[in-house]
Amino acid sequence: MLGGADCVASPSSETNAGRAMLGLDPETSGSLGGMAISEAVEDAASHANTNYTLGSVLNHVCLHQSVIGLETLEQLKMAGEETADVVVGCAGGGSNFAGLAFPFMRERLAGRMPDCQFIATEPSACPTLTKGLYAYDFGDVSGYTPIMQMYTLGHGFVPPSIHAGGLRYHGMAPLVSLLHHEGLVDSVSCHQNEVFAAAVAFCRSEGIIVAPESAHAIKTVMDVASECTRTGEAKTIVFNCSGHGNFDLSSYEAYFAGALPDYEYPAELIAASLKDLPAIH
Amino acid sequence: METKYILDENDLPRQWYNIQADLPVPPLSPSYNPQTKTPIGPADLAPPIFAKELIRQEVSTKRYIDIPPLKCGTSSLSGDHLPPSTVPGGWRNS
Repeated sequence: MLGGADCVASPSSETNAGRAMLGLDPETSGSLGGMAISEAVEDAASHANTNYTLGSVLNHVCLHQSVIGLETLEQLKMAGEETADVVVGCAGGGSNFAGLAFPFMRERLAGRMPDCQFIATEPSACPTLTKGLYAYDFGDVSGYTPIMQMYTLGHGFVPPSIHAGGLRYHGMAPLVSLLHHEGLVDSVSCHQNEVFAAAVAFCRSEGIIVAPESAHAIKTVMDVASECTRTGEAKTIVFNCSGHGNFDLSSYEAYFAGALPDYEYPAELIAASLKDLPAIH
Repeated sequence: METKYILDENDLPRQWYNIQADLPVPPLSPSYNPQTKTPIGPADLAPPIFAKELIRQEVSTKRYIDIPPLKCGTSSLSGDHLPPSTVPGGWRNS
């Protein structure tokens, strides 16, 4: 809108996918991967002058994001560091994590950083890597998008409305999923209150208001650093501060008001959603 | 003590790194057509959905892919990590 574009909130009444979602649940809070992607793909497919651009998940998006890790490797050299011991990023669709991690993974696979550990952090309310299934699934709720092999909570997954920490997609980038499945990328989940507490501590220490998504990485970094303090082992920890929180002040307000309950997505709901996976043989 | 490491603009990467060139066994599985449930090819992703170059990048196994020189400004209006993908994606779709 600031740049002159139109912006439509999803689910909307402007597409078949949006109308179907609203017909099922008029009060739905929507979902990025499920509903918004379905509506955007439908809009692109039905207008000759429209293409579709996805902000995460896909291989080419991970490719574009690799500038993050490539530049970070150069920054490490400036800091006099030859290697990183731990690389941490938050993971929703996986692209910002991939952007930082993949150039470092290149170094690990080539034997130049053989002991580098990679940690993808996600919300306990949206536990794609920690509790999802490595399976073939649609990228969106309506089944318009390609079926990809990835960690998934089921394409019908809708994050709880009380979750304010972002990273809400039901799936995970196939490339990140493969590396996690092969044991090269670890994953941890965090509750939103400890995430926001980490964000506040970071702000008071560094003077930066981070996005709630990025705060997941900060929480994990703090945990790794605390473990180093306990053991006396020195480690070089790299993380991606992927975004500011200037547009998330209402979430910070809710945190300070004690209005953000911690929520762990129930196993039975995950199991129910995974029943609708497409059959790929 | 504050320590910052700021790269010069001359140090900006000229190529993207494609991990598909270095994946350990097994390679990335193919995606499947949502209607036919058969392995997807570049034609399945063709316009009007995705721009051609983005499709090429999606399936490429080249280790490094040149970053096209952009004539437009790349400063971040949003202040987050998205411009590295939204700017080239939007440029390819224009």
